Amino acid sequence: MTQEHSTEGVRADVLVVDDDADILAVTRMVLEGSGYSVRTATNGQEALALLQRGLDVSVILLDLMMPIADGWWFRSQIDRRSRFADVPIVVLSGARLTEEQVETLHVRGYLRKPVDLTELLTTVDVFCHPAPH
Amino acid sequence: MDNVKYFLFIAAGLGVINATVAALVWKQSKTPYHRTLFLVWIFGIMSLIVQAFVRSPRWMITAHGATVFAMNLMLADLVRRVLDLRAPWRAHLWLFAMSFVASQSASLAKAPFWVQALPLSLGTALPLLDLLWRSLRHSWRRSSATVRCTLFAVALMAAHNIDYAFLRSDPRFTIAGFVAAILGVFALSITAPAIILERTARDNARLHETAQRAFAARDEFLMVASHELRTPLASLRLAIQGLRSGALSASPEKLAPLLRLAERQTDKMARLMEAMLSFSFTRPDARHEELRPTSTDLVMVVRKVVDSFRDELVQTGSTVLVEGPPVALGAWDRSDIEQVVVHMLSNAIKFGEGKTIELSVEQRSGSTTCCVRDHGIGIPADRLPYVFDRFERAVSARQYGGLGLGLFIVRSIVEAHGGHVRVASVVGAGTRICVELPNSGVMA
Repeated sequence: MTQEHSTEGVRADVLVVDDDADILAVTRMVLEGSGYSVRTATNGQEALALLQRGLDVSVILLDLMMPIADGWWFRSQIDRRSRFADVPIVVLSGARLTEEQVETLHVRGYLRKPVDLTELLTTVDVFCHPAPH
Repeated sequence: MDNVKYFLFIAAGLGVINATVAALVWKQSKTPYHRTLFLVWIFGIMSLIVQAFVRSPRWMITAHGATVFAMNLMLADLVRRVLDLRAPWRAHLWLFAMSFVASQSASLAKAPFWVQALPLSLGTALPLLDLLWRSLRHSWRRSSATVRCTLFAVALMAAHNIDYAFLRSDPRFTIAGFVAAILGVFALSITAPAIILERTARDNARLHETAQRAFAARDEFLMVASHELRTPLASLRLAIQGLRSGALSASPEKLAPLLRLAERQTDKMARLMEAMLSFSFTRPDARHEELRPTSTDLVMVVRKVVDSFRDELVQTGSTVLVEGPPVALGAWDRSDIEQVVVHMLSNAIKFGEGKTIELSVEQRSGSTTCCVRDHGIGIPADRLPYVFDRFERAVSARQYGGLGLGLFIVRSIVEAHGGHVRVASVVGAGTRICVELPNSGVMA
C-alpha cells in the first residue's frame, strides 16, 4: 500500500495497479530485479491519487477488475484530465477482452495474465527506454 | 314465434356461432378430452335440429343440455387459455357433468321444467362466474381491451345461463339471454385469436429476453472465470520465471516468501477448481448423495480454516475473532463443512474492508450454528434474497470478481445436511451470514 503524503517530483519507471497483493509484490520484485523503479497502487482511486500528487511514471500497468475503483473507471478519469493523457497505459488483466473492448479502452497495450516475464519486460522496456527516432 | 322456427333459430345460433368456439378449441388442442367435447357438441346440435321437428320437451332438455354442456366446457377451456388462468378445470368439469346428470334425471322424473333447467343453468353459470371472478381478481388491471372484451362475453354467457333458470317464464327473456350469449360468444370468437396471438408474442418476447439474459450471464461467467483462474497463475508464473531468469534472488530469505506465495496461489487454484467443477453444473439437491458424514468437530474446522487464511488476513489487515465452545461435534461431511467455512470466511475477508471479522460457533441440543460477521461494504436489501443463488453477486463483477458460487456452495452443502442458511446485512455496516446444521446431520 502506498501511503505517501506527497509524490511531487517523484519519478518511477512503472506504476503497477492491481488489487492482488501477491501480484503487486512479485511484479514489483521482478521489475526491480531487472533494474526498474516501481510504485504500486491497489485500485484505480489510489493510482489516480498518486498521479494527482505529482508522481511521474513512464508506464502504468493496469489491472481491470479491482474493488473500490476498477480499471475502466481509472481509464475514464485519465481521459478527463488532459495533463495525464500522455501517460502510457498497458492493461495487465486476466479478463478475456475482445478486440473492440481493448480498443474502447484506448490503451497502448494489452497483456493477458498470466503474463510471460520476457513479454512483460519487453513491454515495459519500450516505454522506459524509447528507441531514438 | 313458431316452435319450428324457434328451435331452428336456436340450432342455427348455437351451430353457426359456437362452431367458431369449437374450431378455436379444436385448433388449440386435439386431446381426447377436446375431441370428446367436440363430439358431444355435434350430438347436441344434431339433437336440436331433430327437436325442431319432434317437439318433445324432454328431448329439448337432453339436446340443449348436451350442447350447452359441451359448448360451455369448450368455452371455459378457451377462456382459461386466453386469460392464462390457473382455474381448477377438473372441478369445473365435475360441476358441468353433475348439473347435466341432475337435469337429465329431473327430466326423466317428469319434474317441472324449472327443476330440470335449474341445475343445468347453475352448473354452467358457476364455472363461468368462477373464471370471471378469477380473472377480475388476478389480471384486470394489466389486461388489455381484448381481454376485457372477453370477460364481457363470459359475463353475458353467465347472465344467459342464470336467466335461463330463473326468468324463463317469459320466452322473451330467454330469447334476450340467448342473444346475449350469442353476442358474448361472438365477441369471444373475434377476440380470442387476437388475445392468443398477443400472448404468444409476449411469450416469445419473454423467451427472447430469457435467452439474452442467459447469454449475458454466460459471457460474464466466462470473463470472471477467466480472470479468477488467471490471477493466481499470474503471480506463480512471474515468480517461477523470475527465479529462473535471475530477476529474483534465490537466496533462502528471499525464497521463503516466494514459496509461501506459491503455496497460497496453488491453494487458491485448488479451491477455484473445486468450486467450478463441483458446483457450476450440478443440481444443488444432488449434493445429498455425495455426502460422507463422519464425526466432525466444527470448532476445529473453523480454527483450521482461519489458520489457512492467515496470509490473506495479513494482506487485507483484517483480524478474526473466534468465539465458541471447545468442541462442537456433529455428523457432517468434514471436507464439505470445511468448504462452507472457507467460503463464508473468504467472503467476509473480501468484502470486509480490512475490519474485524467475528466468527462464532454455538451448539444447542439439536443443532449447531456457525455465524460469520464482517463490518464491510454490506449487501443492498434488494440483492439479499438472491445472494445464495448460483452465479449471483451482490456487487459488480468488475470490482469484486469471484465466480458467484461461494454462497451457493454454502447453501447447497448446508441444505444437503438438512440445515439452513440466513443472511442479514446493512450497506456500509457489514454482513452476518449464519448456517445452522442439525447435529445428526445426514444421518437423520
